[in-house]
Amino acid sequence: MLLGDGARSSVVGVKLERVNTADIGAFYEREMPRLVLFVTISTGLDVHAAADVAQAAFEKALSRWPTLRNPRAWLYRVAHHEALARCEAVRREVPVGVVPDRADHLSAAPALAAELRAEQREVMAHLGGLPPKQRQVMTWTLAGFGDAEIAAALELSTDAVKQSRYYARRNLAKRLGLAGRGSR
Amino acid sequence: MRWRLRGGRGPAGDPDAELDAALFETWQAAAAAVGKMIDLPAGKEALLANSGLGQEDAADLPPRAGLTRQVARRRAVRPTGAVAAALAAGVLVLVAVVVPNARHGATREPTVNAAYVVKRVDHALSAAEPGEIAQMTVTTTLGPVIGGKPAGTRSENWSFGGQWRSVMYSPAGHPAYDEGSGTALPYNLVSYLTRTWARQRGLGHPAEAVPGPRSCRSVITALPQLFQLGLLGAGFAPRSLPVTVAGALRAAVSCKSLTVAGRQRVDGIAAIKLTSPPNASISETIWVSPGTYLPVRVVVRAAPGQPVVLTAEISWLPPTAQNLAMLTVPIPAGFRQVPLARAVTSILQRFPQPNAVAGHPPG
Repeated sequence: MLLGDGARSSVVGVKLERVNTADIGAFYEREMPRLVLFVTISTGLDVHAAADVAQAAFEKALSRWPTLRNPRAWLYRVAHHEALARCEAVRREVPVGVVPDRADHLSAAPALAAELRAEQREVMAHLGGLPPKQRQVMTWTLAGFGDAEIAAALELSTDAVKQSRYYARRNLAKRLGLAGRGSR
Repeated sequence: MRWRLRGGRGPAGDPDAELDAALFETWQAAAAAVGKMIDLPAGKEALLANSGLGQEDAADLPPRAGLTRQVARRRAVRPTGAVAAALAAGVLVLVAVVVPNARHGATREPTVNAAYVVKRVDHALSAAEPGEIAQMTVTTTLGPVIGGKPAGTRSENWSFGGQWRSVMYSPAGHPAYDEGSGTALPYNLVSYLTRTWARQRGLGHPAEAVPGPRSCRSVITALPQLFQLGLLGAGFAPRSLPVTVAGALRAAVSCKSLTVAGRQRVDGIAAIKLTSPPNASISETIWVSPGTYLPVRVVVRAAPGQPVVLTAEISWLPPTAQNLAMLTVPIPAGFRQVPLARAVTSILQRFPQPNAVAGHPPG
């Protein structure tokens, strides 16, 4: 069972034949919040840092827009790699006394938490609390990408993607009190 | 706690469908919330402007009612006040009055872009503060030009977290003195003029962080601290000790009505040029990297008739062992340890300090 955010049909895989500011503007307004959320949840960056990453990814994408076969996937991949690089740089360069075992995304973004209902905050907390690979696969899935795209982005096999999603769903169902077995 | 599904897509009682619905609904709500937290119009404008699409194709974009009003409102609530900074030699006191820029209301694009760039610079500095070493070469041009060559000083500065170091050079280009300190570290001062050095604990701890970017009072301290004016050992009050370069820059950036004045090449990159309003008492120009949005050069000029120019070339370095070593003041072999007061006095005779608290040399 695939999840999606409803954006697939209109954007994913669609190559804009020429750079049109109205199309780009609409694409930006639609995708920017989703991309920021994607970066925040998948990497643990706060919303403002994620917005920086997302904006930089958009700028890179726009500079080569006509050559991109799948601009949306390219955009998310670039943002993902940039965000991971930032996280790695911070982790490597700033020693901390106690390393948290789980990134608490919502505590880093109280404004985001305030906009969500209690049960949605719970879902977000559990999503952010998944092991890294499961969390990444789930965020890519929630962002509307298919197995092949996720596999390419995360440099995994499609079977590994399905397996990670299976475990992620099972973990989430368990933590949310749902008795689901977790379909792939 | 059992998850209570609200408005799910799947049939009730199907755990998989309930999970999907919960995730889907949460993701959509969170994306909408993020959309409220970020400045989408400004981001879009900047994206299109940076790509070169924003100028000629702006007419393609649907007009957004209220954008100009929003920006004007943001400008209007910015603090307006008098900002004074003693910048050099105790002679010059610059009073910068941050006034609303009349041009902002005239054209939409530069205002939006400037607000966006300033916001990105603020975020970039905020992100850089804990993780990168700020390395600055500060050139101060003071007084009248004599024989075609302006009198001035040059110093190199490093700042990382609570640690900092500053090396002042003589006009001939030789190191004159080297000072540095940090949280839980003693203050070290090496005088190359007298081949002496001094150390004292309890000095040189960074001040409280510069208040948030919305507080323009911080500029009073931001500029002198940014440019490390004055020998710390000469008696800076503890609350005026240097803060981080990133913190000082944040204050300097956020408290000015900066406008984007195009791009200029700085060290090979097409840096974004931000300038203060033409009627400001302190002329402040900041070039930021278009990739990282971190400042790479800052030039502060005094009012007309005051030939003082402070130029800071800024690099942002990863805290590798080699770079971290630059924060340490080396004590050259053969130099003699003396009381701090004596080391300071010898330096003050050659380098009068503008901001020293008279009569309180430590030691």
